[in-house]
Amino acid sequence: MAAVTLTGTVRAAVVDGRQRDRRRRWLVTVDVERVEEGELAGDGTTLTLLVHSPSRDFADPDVVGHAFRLTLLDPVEDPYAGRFTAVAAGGD
Amino acid sequence: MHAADVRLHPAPGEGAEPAGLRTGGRRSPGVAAPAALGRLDAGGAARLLGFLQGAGGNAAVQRLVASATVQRDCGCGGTCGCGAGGGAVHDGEEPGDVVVARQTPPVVGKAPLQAVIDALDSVAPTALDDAFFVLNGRAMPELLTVLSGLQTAGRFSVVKANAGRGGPRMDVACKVVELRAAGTPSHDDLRRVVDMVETFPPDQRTAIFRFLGANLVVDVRGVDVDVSYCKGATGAGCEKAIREAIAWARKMAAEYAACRGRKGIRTGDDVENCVDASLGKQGITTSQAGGTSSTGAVTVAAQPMTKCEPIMTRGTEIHEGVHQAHTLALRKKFGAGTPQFQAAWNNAADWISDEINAYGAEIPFYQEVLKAMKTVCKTVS
Repeated sequence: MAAVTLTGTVRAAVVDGRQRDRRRRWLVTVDVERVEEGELAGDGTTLTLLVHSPSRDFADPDVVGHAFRLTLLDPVEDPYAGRFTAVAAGGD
Repeated sequence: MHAADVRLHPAPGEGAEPAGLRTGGRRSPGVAAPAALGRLDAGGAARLLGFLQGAGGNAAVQRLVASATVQRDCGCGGTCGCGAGGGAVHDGEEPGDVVVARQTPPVVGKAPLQAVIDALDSVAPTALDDAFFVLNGRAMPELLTVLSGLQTAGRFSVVKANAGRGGPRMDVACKVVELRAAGTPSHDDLRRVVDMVETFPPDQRTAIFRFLGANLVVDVRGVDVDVSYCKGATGAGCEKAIREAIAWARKMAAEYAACRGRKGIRTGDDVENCVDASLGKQGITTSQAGGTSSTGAVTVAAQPMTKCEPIMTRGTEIHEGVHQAHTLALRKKFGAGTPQFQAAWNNAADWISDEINAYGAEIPFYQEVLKAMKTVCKTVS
């Protein structure tokens, strides 16, 4: 299964009021700047991830406004609830 | 602050000369009342808005007050209350009438609701101690700015209704006002309102209960615990959901602890896989599966928002606060993005401790909410 790799900036991180997953309670919205590998659904300009902890999963205590290079390892849906890696892109 | 009785007054004729405000403050020049302005004492309205601003701050008021007021869909085409099916013309004598004002189309050269404000001046300023705005639309800073200068005593509530000419929230708002106008609501009445406002945003729920005289609110770490979280006439209160959240936090802390020191568990991913495997063996799934898409991805389904969600959200924020603080501490110690930071952040033992701490931090909050609910819910039990 092809991974999707992209760079983008986190626009928002909010608690998922709809409780899609008891262990992943945050919705992180990323403005996609560039898709390096693979394809995103829709117009590919935003990506929403369902995560346990924005700060832990992105290794950044304050993710909003910061850019990351994300590799999505599972099929992409909205919100994306699969595995991913996040590396800070550029300066903090 | 005690609720005063709602006193009704004959509706002013349209185009009436303004009498000015007797409550002091700004006096506006005479203008014709908008056609749809109902029975509303300017002083009362002004007092109400000022009180709410003073009590909650302008930001809180703006959450409640919208840019347009709505009028019940009235067949009479003019000033109608919502006490009698929405179609009858009221003469000011019916008890429980709701005073609503409709936003006319923006008046060129005036702030959107300046026409309404001006019209308030035209209403005979005999004392009306309560007024109830039923509003929809966006925040209405102009109205707030103007009315805030008028008076600061009094009480009122503002409820944001659905856009348009009615809708479920308007219906609820009208029922709430009728209830209030009929006298002091009983505990049974309040429990029925608890059910009625279940889907309202929490700040509006608080405003409604304040309007009804159920003023008791306990702030627990930023969540205003009021009667809306209590058991309603038919609906459940949040106690069960909170106890479940406590049990889940304890369980998850134990799951992470059980993975500590196990062979082969070295990284954060290893820890998560360990916990996943344990939960899987117990038949516990954490996501609400929405189905499998054509790509093979299992989608997660959104659940209806419950009235307890503000409490759960705050608990989640408290949990995240622990992760944030720990990530920041690691950064300060090892430097952002350094191999040392990465190693520490991804260390299994550290990962486990962080999760145990984070789940543990939720529990005292939930317990405080339960304690607050015990006090608050006595007012409706």
